Amino acid sequence: MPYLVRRLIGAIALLFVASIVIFALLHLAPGSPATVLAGQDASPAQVAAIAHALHLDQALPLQYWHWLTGVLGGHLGESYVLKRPIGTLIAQRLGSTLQLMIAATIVMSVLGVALGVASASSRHRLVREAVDAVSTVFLSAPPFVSAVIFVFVFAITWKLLPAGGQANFLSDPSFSIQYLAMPAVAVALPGSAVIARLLATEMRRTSEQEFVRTAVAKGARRSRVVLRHVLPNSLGPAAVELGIRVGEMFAGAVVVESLFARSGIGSLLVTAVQDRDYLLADDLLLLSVAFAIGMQLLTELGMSRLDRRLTLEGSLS
Amino acid sequence: MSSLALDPAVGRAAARRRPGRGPLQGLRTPRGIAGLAIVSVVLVAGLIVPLLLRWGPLTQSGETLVGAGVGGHLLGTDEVGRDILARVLQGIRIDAVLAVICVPGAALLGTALGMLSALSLRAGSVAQSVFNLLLGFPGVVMGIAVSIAIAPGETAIAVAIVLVTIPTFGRQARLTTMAELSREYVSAATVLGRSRWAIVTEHILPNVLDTVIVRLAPAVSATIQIEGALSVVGLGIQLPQASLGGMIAAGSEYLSSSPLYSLAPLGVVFVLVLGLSLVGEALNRAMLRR
Amino acid sequence: MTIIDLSESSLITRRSMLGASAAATAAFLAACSSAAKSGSGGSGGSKSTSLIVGTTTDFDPPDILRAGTNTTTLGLIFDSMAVLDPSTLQVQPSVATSWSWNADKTELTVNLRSDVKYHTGRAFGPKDAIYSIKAVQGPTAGAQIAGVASLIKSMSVSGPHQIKLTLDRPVGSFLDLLVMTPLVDSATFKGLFSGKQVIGTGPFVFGTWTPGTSITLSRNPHYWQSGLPHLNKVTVRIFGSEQALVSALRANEIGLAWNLVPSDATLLAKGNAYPSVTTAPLFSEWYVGANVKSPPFNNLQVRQAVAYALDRDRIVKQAFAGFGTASACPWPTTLAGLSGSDDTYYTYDPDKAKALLKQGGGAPSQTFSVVIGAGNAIAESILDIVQFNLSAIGLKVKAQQVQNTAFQQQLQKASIPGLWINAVGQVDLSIGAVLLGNAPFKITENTSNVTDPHYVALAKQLIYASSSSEIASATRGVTDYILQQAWHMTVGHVPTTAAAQPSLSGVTVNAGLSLQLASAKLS
Repeated sequence: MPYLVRRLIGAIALLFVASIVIFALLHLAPGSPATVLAGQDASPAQVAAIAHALHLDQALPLQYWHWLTGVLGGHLGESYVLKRPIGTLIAQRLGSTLQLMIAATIVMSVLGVALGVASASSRHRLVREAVDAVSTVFLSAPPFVSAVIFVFVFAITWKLLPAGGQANFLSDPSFSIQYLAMPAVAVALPGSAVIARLLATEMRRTSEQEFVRTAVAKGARRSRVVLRHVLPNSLGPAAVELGIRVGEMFAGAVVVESLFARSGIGSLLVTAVQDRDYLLADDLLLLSVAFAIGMQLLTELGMSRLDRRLTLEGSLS
Repeated sequence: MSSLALDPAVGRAAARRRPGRGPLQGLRTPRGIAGLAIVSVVLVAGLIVPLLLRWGPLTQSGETLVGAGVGGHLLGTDEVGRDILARVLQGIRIDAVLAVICVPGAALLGTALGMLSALSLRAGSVAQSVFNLLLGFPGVVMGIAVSIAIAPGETAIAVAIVLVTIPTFGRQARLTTMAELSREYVSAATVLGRSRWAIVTEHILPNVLDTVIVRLAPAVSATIQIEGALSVVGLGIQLPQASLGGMIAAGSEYLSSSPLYSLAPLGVVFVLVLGLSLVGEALNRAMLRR
Repeated sequence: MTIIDLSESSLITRRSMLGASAAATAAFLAACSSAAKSGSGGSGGSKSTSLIVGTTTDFDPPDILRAGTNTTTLGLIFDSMAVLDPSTLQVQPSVATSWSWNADKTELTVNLRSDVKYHTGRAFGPKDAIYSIKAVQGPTAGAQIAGVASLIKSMSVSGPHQIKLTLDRPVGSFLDLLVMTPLVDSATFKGLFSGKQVIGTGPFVFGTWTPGTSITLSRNPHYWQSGLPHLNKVTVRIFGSEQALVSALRANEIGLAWNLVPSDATLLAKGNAYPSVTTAPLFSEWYVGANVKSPPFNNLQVRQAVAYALDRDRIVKQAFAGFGTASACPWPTTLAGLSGSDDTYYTYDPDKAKALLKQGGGAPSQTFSVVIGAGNAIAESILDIVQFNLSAIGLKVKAQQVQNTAFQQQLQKASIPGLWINAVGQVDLSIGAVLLGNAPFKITENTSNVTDPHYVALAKQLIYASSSSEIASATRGVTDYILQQAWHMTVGHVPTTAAAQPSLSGVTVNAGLSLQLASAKLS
């Protein structure tokens, strides 16, 4: 598939451009890791001494080259400020972010599919309206809004769940789930509403089609028709949306991680950028962009296969 | 927010388009009316109610963190004695100004770029790449990156919002335009000798504008969310100005003792986003129903 | 449009699905313990020997030599040669048993204990003491005590348990060096900053560190204070937010909440539910700084007007939640040479402020900014109040939160264009050391750009003062200058605050190495 190959090359070129933008942005900002390491009471001479010791006074293109070749070779380097291998730092934080991403994805899918099926399959207008109202409410709750409400209700008023923190899933599964409950739901709500809507729309559209009417006419049980024919053919747009949401979750869960006192990739990124921890911030930003671009590629591919009428290179000629 | 599945629907609807009926008809439905009403009430409150209050959003006092109703403060005070109600109203005004300044301009610019890129193959891949590059930075990360380059504050938030909005509208416009271009009626029109410009303005542009109208409401609610999220990580609207996100973040420290500090602006954000969602849905449904 | 009607299907009905999931959830919740309620090993139970300390700042190995912000674990793992008695403010022996000056106070002989061992088992000796002092002298260490340490002319081992430090001239605050230098291990120093090998001589041994989550420490069986420590295990848990830290103390998940925001400590101490641990003499001194090279602050009367415009009492009440004291003086007025009236050298007097402005040529027409580093709640509250106070006397003020690293850079370069608000951690008590090490006061390259030779002379008098009467009068001199010149306007002192479970006792604080748990026990 030449198109796929072209898109892949395009994505790689894009990442390359992104890497330059990321590197330039951080280096042009005032301050450096030496600033942070030297502390408030240091003189400019002391800061310069630390910068020199860290090779930060080398020419910028040279530093960029070192970084790029390092990343391509699999060496992520060592954090200037935290003085630890970046790979280790990411691995330690990744667990927490993955927990949240997986939990949120599960909630989003289950909730989205449940609401979508309920909306599309009910004969009673009241039920459809109710489900729509529920999904509108979900849609209107940005994660930081739901987060604060959940904390207030479930942690402060009824002390059911912990207000913040995290636990290792492999060693403490029941605790880790309790810590995950509120943040995962907060992250998942808006996405689940969109998925529900998309699924319901598609299911309604699919059930109008000939092959479904044929199946019913042939006497197949309705549930079988729904499960075997309608639902699978309607998952397209919803799956695409899920992909986009997951792609954004990686570093975008920053706010939720901050509100729930979880130490994940998002907060590592914010701290790294704030502290001008060049290598760490560059690596994380590049990772986040690569992940998002990867998910975009997947969803574009998925979308193009869904709607065959949509040619990917339309033009007037 | 980025609901790509509008595109196949748009494609189908386009061929059946009847002039004179657009998504704006959706504003007459119960949903649309409810949404508009909610948003209007909040905005009007933000403009009118401050005139009725005794103190402004910046007036400090010695009454620290008092509860609702104490000393004439309907919603209590914050940690430096400022009236919470006054500050919530100022927050509404600031978010409204931010949205009005950033969203329409960015939406139109993004749409124009997206359409143009669909019409030309070379410009297309460049535009697609730029859009993808910008979209690769999640909203908050974009805000952080921008506030590193520019000092944190309204300007940085505005720039971040614009940088996030342009590619969203751009990608949508590009996909819609491409979908339209592959329709049979377009090849028919070309065969009949209609000029490219005429095809674009008569057939494609109205469909694209429909999607723009539908997306405006979610874009505004995203603005509020980005401002809020940036305030939570400490890079939002500068002191002493009040902002909804900033108050939610600052008030979360006092959630157990003075919950209104966080819950009042939170309620406003929720209601605003709800109203905007209702409007957006109403428009969307109207467009699909044609 | 017709749709397939599912309501009559034999699909699992929605009702039964809901029922099943509700039952499953209830069973799950009942079966597992609640993280919200139970202690995950807190200080509950009688005679426990395991303590969990909660804090919001992570362990930061490069910070060990700075002895500034890493206040939770430092004093557990490391010792210093001397300690500051919090009640008498006298320097007391620790790893050093005694010390003496020669006649002209240029040579200090320090005697060290012979029974101190590093956690690796290696015996501590005089060479290690010298190594530790050299470490704080290092240009990349950023140690607060480096200013004092730089005055050392030479160091030598003068006996099996003795070292001699020589100076060019007497330095009054020199003993601070013995208090503020953590005794590090030369054999494992390479692994220190990365957190791989954190070896000290203190009551607890560094175990594991999960960055961002927790640090575990175990009892040092060979600790030189016999019988101590009482605790077998200390876990330091890192919380991402104050809210979570306070909830954890309330839920009995932790035994000690260290370094709280003042408003939380006040809330917790209400009704003595959780006794607050005082951390005097440690406090943060919050101040408004002025750049004397940047108009209009090159004008003394403008600066003094600002000093009179500040409502210090409201700042203490609102920004410090009442947990602190208002003062115009940077250091405690109980020091020899000072008096209580120094605290009120400047009072809240907007009329006087306006008069001074007029005298100084009227309120300046340009807008200037008051700057803080973003993200600090106390700084934000103070900024709100200061901005309000200054607008009230007619100054055109803009509040500006600057991203933290950019702020640090501006402080280092002394390039802030107007006023700023910041805190000085007063971890040592000798003003001499402060004048040598803390940027707002340094005699060269200080943050306010003060280059007046008169200040330098006064400061040097204090730094090199040796007798107590010299120290007292030199303190008076320097303090008078700083107060009168108003380029460093103190607003108040805030102690580091902590709160503990009632069952915890024996928690002390050491200037320099902070939290001490050697004598701590749970009843």
